[in-house]
Amino acid sequence: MSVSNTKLWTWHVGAGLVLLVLLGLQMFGMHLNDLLHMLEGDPISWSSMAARAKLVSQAIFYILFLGFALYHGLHGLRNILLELNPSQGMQGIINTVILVGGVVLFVFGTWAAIAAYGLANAPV
Amino acid sequence: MPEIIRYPNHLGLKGWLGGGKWGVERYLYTLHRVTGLGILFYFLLHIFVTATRAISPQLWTSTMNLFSNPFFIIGEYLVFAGFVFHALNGLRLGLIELGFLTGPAEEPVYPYRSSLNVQRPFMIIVMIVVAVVVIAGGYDIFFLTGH
Repeated sequence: MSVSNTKLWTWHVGAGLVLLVLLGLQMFGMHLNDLLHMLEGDPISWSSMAARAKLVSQAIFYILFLGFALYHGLHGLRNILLELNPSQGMQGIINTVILVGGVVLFVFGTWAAIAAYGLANAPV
Repeated sequence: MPEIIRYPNHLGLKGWLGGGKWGVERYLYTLHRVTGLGILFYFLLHIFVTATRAISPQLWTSTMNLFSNPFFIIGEYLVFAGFVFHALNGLRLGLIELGFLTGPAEEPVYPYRSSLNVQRPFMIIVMIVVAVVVIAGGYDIFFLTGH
């Protein structure tokens, strides 16, 4: 099944709008915490991270964020590469590498989120 | 995937550098792409770095300690600034693409009235907001965070 480039572009814009919220929360929480106090303590310490990783909502947030960010970023990269007028064969290679790479990274990141949830909730 | 029909791109990457008659928005377009590629590169690394939380607390802590040196703090700030620009400029582009800032249909006389009277002032407002947030981020990262 092939999807038109117009549809892919519409999804790209939609994913960008979702990321504006998800990545905004992530960036302002992790990188402006001393100014905004959105998270308790140092957000990158193990105790703070483990407290967040215990929550199902955090794992869902991360997986959604991962999916939207990978789609938006890799589709943007594909657009830039295809604008350089590669040959038909090279276009196929670009499409395949980006699609397979995106799926592999999504599976890996999803595993990490689920495993971190399990580790954070494991009895000490 | 259907065949893509497009005009030949004679300029290639060199076309990113020349604003020419298109004005400041052309440079914002280039900066949008550069920041997008930078954020993508950071994000791909970020997936592997944050995956250490799934392995052990020791690996997580040693990895985070690695990122507390000044080189990575400057990198963190650049990523933050790039994100703020890319997100707000992307919002501007999305609003224009969806027709919110284009005004009613009119005779196509260049320069377009909607470009000068609506889109240009909106772009200036967006860039002022970007500057304010980027400065606030710099204050937080360099002066408040106990690195």
